[in-house]
Amino acid sequence: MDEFRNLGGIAENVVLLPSLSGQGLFPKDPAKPLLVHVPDNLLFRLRDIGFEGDRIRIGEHAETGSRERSFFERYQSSFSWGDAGHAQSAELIDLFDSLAPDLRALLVAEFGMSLFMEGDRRERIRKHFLRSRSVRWDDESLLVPLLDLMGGGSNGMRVDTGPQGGVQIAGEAQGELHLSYGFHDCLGVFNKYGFATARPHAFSLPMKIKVGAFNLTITRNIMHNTNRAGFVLPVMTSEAGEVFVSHLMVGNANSPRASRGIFYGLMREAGAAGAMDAFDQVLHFNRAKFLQLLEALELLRGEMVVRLRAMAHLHLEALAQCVGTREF
Amino acid sequence: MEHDSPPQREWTWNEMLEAFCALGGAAQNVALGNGEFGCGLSVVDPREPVLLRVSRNLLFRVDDIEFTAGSIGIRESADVPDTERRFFERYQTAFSWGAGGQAKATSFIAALEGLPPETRELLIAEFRLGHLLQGDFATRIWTHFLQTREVPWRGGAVIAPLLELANHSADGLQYERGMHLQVQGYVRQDIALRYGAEDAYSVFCRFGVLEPRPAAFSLSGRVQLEDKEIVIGRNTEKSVKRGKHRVPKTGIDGNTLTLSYLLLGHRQVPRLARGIFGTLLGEAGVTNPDEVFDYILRSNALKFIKLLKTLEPHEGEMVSMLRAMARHQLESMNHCIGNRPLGLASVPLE
Repeated sequence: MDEFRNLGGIAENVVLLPSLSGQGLFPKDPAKPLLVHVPDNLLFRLRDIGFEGDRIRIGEHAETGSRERSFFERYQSSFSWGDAGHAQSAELIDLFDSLAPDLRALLVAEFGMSLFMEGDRRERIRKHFLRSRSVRWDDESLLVPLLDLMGGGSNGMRVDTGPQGGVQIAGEAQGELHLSYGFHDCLGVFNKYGFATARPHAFSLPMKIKVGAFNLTITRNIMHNTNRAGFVLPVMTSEAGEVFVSHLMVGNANSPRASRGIFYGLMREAGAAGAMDAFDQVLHFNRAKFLQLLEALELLRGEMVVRLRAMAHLHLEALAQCVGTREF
Repeated sequence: MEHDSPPQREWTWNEMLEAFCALGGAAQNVALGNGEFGCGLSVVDPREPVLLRVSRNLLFRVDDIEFTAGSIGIRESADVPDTERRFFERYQTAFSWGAGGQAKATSFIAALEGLPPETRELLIAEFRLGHLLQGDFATRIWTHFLQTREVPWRGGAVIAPLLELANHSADGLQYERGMHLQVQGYVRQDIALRYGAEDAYSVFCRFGVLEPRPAAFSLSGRVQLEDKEIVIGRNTEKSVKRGKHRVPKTGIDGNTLTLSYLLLGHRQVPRLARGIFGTLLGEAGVTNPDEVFDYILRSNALKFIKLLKTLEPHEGEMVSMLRAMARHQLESMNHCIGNRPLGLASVPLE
């Protein structure tokens, strides 16, 4: 912590303690506000990070100062990758590797889980570690000291910009500190962290569908969005009869009219007819995929099967939260 | 818990058929089966048609049937002639209740009894399965036995000897109702009766079996709107013909609109569910029926997902069965795409 502070970091009213996931950050005094500020020089871009054997390093090409580089490597070795990070990631990858081949193929093809299951095991462990501990900030994925020890949580803290740049979390908290899941839905959280948790909303799986005269392509890039009337909307582009939306919400317990309303609004802008049928077909496609997953899991046993089943149940719950429509 | 008495087969199949026909029934090309659907009826010669006719005097009202000390009979007070009464009791003992029927019903009720308490509570509270899960164990077995075999007849329910032995399937023979109750047609091996308007949930509740079905109907319940209450039943027998489709019977009493049942999804006609609801509610003066339909769809889906979640940590045959039933129901419910108001011609999905 001394070196962290010497390098411009601020850590007020936080302490590192053993937690369920190894070590986590806790408020020293839950009655008082806490602050963790990480300056720009301690924000490490994933693209600058590499591994040498079992050690995590900043690549030579990176424009990172030598003190920061040294701090990163010592910190990672003592508290993150070298502490429980590597073991936890390896355990998760091994759970995926234990799944039946048919199920693995389904998860890769339909649910975007190739990162867990395809390629060299060591690489997958490393990539999962980085993915699960990184923060998306200004179109970059960053590994942020201290914040990388905070797993995700439903009532997690939001990462904000600091007064002089950098990132920070601030506020009051009881118990272990977690970061907000952001826009991630249940499948998104699962693909980032490898566990199931309830989320109020669901985004569509990637798909293509005909809407009126247009071919609509839906992706799952939830970071690519715009804001309208307080709602996060996908970015829509169109070109020669092809319409692309960066993501599409297909259920939201907090705003059950929003999903259909957003889609109708987008299709109106695109000049596409038949939005009602199309949205129903998107819903049908998504629900059918998760029901298909449940069917594939039916006769199987094991910890990862239980996690996947819980994820499918929770995602289906969010998918059910689509009632009526509203104007956007 | 009652134990099964050993089958009393002193009455042979042919002797029983003789008595059945002497009382006005007809059974041609029919044998006691043991085919792919389990015990039931099978065809003797598949090249010839099957005919099984149960005359009116052999249709026994469920309300007239009683169980005493492990045996089944007709209540003394019932208006059933002695010959038919004796036939029913002998037939039941030799070929139905006493020949596996009791054991099968007992095993189903016992399996439900063995479910974890929270699952049982959920099934009672949200799925109205109290009659299978609460009360005297023997009574529940009797109730379930009759429910699996009863057939609607002129506003009531009856047990039709021989016909009640047949299993059910999606493409089975259809009941013909006239002066008598009968089925006829060609079958390859097992004689199966066609399901009525049943979904995966009702097939499970009624017959204790697991079967994906094309349709899903709403669980019964109430929806409170600003100025109206909608009461939804699950009586698919109560329907009226509207164009080429059967739709629920509706009734209005003050501010309460009742629907005898409600289709939520159908694999073969996915536009129909919302179309029927929209048309009926529009006629009843409900504004924005689409949103009300969405609300009912959500409420149903969440209940079946809740059942799946409740079952999650548990294992066992009944747990697997319930899990698959919930999945089948959700799958059928998911076939609700678009909206085809009643009276319009069929439009294929793009």
